[in-house]
Amino acid sequence: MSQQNIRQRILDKLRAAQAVPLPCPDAVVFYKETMEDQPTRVERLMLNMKNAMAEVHRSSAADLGLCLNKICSEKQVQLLAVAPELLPDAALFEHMGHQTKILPVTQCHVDQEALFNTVDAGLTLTHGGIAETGTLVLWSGDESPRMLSLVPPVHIAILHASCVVESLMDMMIREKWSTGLPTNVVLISSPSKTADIQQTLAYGAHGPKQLVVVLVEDR
Amino acid sequence: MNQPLHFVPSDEFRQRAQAVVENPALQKSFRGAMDFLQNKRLAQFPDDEALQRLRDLGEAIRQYSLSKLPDLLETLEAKLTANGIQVHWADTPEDANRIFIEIAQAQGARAVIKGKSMVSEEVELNHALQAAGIEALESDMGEYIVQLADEKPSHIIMPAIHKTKVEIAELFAERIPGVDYTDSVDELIQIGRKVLRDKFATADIGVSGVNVMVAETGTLCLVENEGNGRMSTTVPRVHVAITGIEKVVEKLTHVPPLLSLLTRSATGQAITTYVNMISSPRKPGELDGPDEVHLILLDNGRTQAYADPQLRSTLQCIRCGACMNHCPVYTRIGGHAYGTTYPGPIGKIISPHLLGLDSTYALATASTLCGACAEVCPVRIPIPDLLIRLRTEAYKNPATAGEAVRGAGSAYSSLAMALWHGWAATYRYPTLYRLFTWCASRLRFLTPRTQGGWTRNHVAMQPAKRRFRDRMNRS
Repeated sequence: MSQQNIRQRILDKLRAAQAVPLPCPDAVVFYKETMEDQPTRVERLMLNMKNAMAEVHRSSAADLGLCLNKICSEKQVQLLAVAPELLPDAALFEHMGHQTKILPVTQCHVDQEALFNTVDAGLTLTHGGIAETGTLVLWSGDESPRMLSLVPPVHIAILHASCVVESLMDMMIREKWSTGLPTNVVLISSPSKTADIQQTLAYGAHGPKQLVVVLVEDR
Repeated sequence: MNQPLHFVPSDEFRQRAQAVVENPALQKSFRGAMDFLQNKRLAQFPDDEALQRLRDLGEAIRQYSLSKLPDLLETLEAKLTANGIQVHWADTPEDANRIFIEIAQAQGARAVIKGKSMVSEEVELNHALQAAGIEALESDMGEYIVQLADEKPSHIIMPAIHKTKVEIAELFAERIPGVDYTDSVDELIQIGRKVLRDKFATADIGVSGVNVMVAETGTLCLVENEGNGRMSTTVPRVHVAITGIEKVVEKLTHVPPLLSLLTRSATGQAITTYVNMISSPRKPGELDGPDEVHLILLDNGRTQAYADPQLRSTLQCIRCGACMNHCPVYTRIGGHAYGTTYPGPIGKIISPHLLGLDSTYALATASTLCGACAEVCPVRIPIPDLLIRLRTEAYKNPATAGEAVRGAGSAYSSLAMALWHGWAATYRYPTLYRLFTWCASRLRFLTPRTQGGWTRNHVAMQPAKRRFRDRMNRS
């Protein structure tokens, strides 16, 4: 049977059932925003992430470069793959010690070999954060490749405190996600993990073994 | 265990179940795992009132989506196509495998890396690919372990739940070249990570399932903890997702409550490590992601469940596995005894639609109807009611069974039916009843020594020497 016929047959069978239409449930009202001020909400996000074994740091915008250098030297990052969106900000890297080399990622298929084998950490921006579950939200785009938060053993993510919202629903509504999504949205809430062997939790299954969140306190 | 597990004769089911019940190691394994999962789920729902409201919402969303299913599928297809994702429709497992192999051959693909997908298990994709000369490797740690052992998943969320770490350690040492025995879970995971990393980097196609499809945006949502799902859908040049036609919702705002119910009910997590929302292939200018994304929508009996208003609720399922985690039968016999892709209570109610009642009716009878499954189901599927309905269908007279379920009437026996009719008549007519009991007490020496299931665990029953009626009259 041709594809068209199979499709039609399935739809015909479903229509033949003449299911009674039901009213559309309003999921939005279920998620009332909690009345917290932004700093409290940010604290909750950081606590949730810490409890999920993410490493959390705080920095002012001015000291971000210093903070990144500290993280990279502590973790002995020799090769840091950086998302294109962060490259124009030279101040981020001026404090970087000579032990850490920067790999500007411009073409992932060219850099894939390095990403899989030699890169020690990937550095990305985040689209926002979700306090309720302690979650980072990353949108893919021309300057935001997907592999940097996935393939290297360490993922360092920069999160601006002003981009933290209460819930996923909250973010969907505020930003009108239903009018269009990017190629990929990924929510990240901990380092990669698994409990597939005798329910024993182990980190670093296929994705990053460490997740480092740098919270930038905007003024 | 590599043979297709399509047919489940009831005596084989019973033997398999018996073997597990008599294996203390497996009993301990399953009991421990189920207690662990039950407690983790419970910790995520401290407020029962809030849980009940969320379940109401989840049920309403799933029922609403099903009530508009054909329309939603068309909207979804149009939106996905506009986004650049190619949609394929499959009636049967053979269709799905043929479509997949055509995609693979068009790419000249030699190797496929798989994220976790129960629908790919349902159609036995690995089998079909192997036959077509294409290597298919599972990358979810649990799936990788069962594939390495030539087995099938015994749980839909935790595929290797029947194995202890020592068994896995022995398996790795035996089957992975250059690996020494270690029973450290961290080391075992790192061994798996290393083997599979090379495969992600070189595979031609990545395969995944889908947890929820969103019609209004044309989005495929996937939840996972390991990152293998993201790897499979990001690194290879082609991504093929495969799922059942029922997994669609209309609005993006319908996703958060379902995800929250799913992850908390399944593994007791407020959210999984990754929630991956895919809406298109790589766009020009983007640095990574697959150039092609395909979606295979599978029917395989789902339209049959859909056709009947009561059986339709089977399709509300979001595949969290909470019903099996709380099932006293699953806990004792494990996932393999069922012999179907989906074990446990959900397997008992979905498998008859996928495989026909003729080969699966025994499953519906393996339940005490205790109702634990319905109590924890995040979308309130009335599983015990559906089990009773399927039993009724199985024991109907085939001549008048109707077409609600393929294989209806296959458990029918004219002898059994005649006995039941006789029994009913005996109790309807007092004279007949008295005659029967009079004969029974006189002819008690004729009572058989073995009485079916009863004498497996009990002393044989025998009518009393004197009827109760006679004793009452005499005193």
